[in-house]
Amino acid sequence: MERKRRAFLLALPTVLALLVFFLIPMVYILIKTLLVNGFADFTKFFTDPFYLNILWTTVRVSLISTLISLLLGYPAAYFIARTRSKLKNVMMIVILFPFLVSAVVRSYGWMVILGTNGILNQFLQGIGLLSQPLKILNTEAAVVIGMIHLLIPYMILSLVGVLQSIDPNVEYAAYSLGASPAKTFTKVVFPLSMPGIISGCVLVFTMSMTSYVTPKLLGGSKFRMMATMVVQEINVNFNWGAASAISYILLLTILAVQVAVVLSTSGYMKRMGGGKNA
Amino acid sequence: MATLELKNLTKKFGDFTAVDNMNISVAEGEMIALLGGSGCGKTTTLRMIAGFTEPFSGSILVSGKDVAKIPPYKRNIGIFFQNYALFPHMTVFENVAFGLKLQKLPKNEIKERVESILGLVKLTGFDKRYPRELSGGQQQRVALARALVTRPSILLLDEPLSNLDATLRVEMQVEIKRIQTELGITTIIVTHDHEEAVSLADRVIVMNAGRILQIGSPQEIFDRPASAFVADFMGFSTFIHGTIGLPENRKRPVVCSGHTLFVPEAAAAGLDSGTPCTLTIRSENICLTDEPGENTVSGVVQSATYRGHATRLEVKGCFDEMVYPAVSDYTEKENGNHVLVHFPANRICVYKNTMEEQ
Ligand SMILES: Nc1ncnc2c1ncn2[C@@H]1O[C@H](COP(=O)(O)OP(=O)(O)OP(=O)(O)O)[C@@H](O)[C@H]1O
Ligand SMILES: [Mg+2]
Repeated sequence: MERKRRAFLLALPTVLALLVFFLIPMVYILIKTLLVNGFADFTKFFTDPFYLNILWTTVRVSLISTLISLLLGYPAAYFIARTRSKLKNVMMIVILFPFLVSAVVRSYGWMVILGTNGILNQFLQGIGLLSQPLKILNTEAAVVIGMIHLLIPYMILSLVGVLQSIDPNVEYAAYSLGASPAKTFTKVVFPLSMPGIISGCVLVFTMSMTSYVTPKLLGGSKFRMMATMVVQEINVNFNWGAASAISYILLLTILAVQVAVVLSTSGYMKRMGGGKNA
Repeated sequence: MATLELKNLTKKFGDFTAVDNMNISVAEGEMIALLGGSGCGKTTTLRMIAGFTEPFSGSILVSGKDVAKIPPYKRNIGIFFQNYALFPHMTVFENVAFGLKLQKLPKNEIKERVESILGLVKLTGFDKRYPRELSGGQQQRVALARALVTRPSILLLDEPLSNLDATLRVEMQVEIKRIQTELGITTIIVTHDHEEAVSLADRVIVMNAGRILQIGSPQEIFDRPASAFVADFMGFSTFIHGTIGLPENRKRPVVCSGHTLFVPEAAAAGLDSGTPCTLTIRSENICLTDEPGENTVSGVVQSATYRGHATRLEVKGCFDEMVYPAVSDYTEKENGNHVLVHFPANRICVYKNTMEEQ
């Protein structure tokens, strides 16, 4: 009891800050919107294909970015978790390095690479693979590429943590019982790394859903995601009601996905005893 | 089933040699106990045999064939891990059934075999539990069941019984031995317990610092260790320094701190007269006597510790070194008791002093 109270006291400043600077403004915005326009902004969103399409684009881009981050990040994370090389720490720093450069700068970097006269097109044309430049910049593909580049460190960090906690002998035990590396992966390593996969995916998905800079700079003027739409409603259309409705729908979508993930995996996580120990 | 041969097997970690030029040949169905202090390279040896780590040099032959190119999952070598390495996300049943499922056995046979082996390790009814819901000793037995159930041709057991109480330990020893002989599994068992080694194994290997010190039958290792080091490791505690003399009547005298002990000529073969040497004898073989005589020296009891089946004495004054007889009918309560200690000649082992002992 005493312990719990002390833990609560320690958490209090954070809780207060969240309350004052996040929860209260959110509730304020919601009430204000509902008082002015009722549910009209929400109804409009769900009846207008233009808006629905933006929501779908946002979810699609986020899902694809999350999936590719997982597929690319997993082998890298496994390698880092299992290597005995002295370069292990260097590898971790390299993974964290992109954090030192802001998303804006990185997006401009991708513009240089992916543009019509960009490095990639020049290279592909130079080796004769393409005759016409490929249009990548200002497409959804560019957004996905920029997003993965931005977010994959979070995926790798989540995975390395969990993979490192798996006893290598457990893998060897599977081998000794006749399991091929593929079987060992699907039956042992993959299920044991589930907590890392879940946290990595939720993290990347959430950050991708709310991202603004990447779609804005790499998607071109006609490409819209939820966050860019919020800004557009405020700065261009001066429609604060719509902006707040969109931000609420974005929030609820993310929340729904998170709740769904937690519910669908809670049984499994419980069996694993939190994923660590044992 | 299979024979196992290690030829000049060496493993290095950087500059450090963990296993140094090991040579062993294990016959089909033979059970070998690997004994040695912590960090002497036992686990490393097993890991090389199982194929988890590559030797620096040397080779491993299974039934005469070099297995260097065979991946671990095709070697059919069962291994019990020192830290159990159970699958934390699987129940006891799933853990034990893992290897059988990979063999694509019919479901009912898997069930039968898992249940029967869980019965043997006394874990019937625990099949739905997860490893973290078991005690250390229970986890250990699950790991043992998992290694045994697939009936591998070679079995490597890395301290499989270290975490069990005395009764359970003996029961498990009997089960391991029974399964191993019934199926003729070629087995290497690592243990810190020399009595376990002696009671289970057909041959015992004593290692130190990556090297084999002695390979022999349990009897040989137990009664005639090849060196003072092995003797110490095998539980000898009385070590007496002396100088050996010329043979007389098939015996040789060793002068130790002014007293003369006679040892069998055979035990001191190859030692020149005048050589400094170390004598050792098991505590159980030292006895107390009433009459003076050959190999009998008087001393003073410093302490007596009751050890259940025998009382272990610390006797001072026989030689410069303490001697430690273990006697069954010692009733004296007071210390400082004068006793006559007899060292039966045929039980004494003699070693030439090595450099560091001189
Ligand atoms: N991966 C490794 N890197 C460096 N040194 C290692 C490695 N694995 C083992 N060693 C060293 O090799 C030596 C032998 O280790 P090993 O695990 O084989 O000992 P052991 O005989 O099984 O000991 P114990 O009885 O304590 O289990 C030890 O000194 C250990 O520190
Ligand atoms: Mg070991």
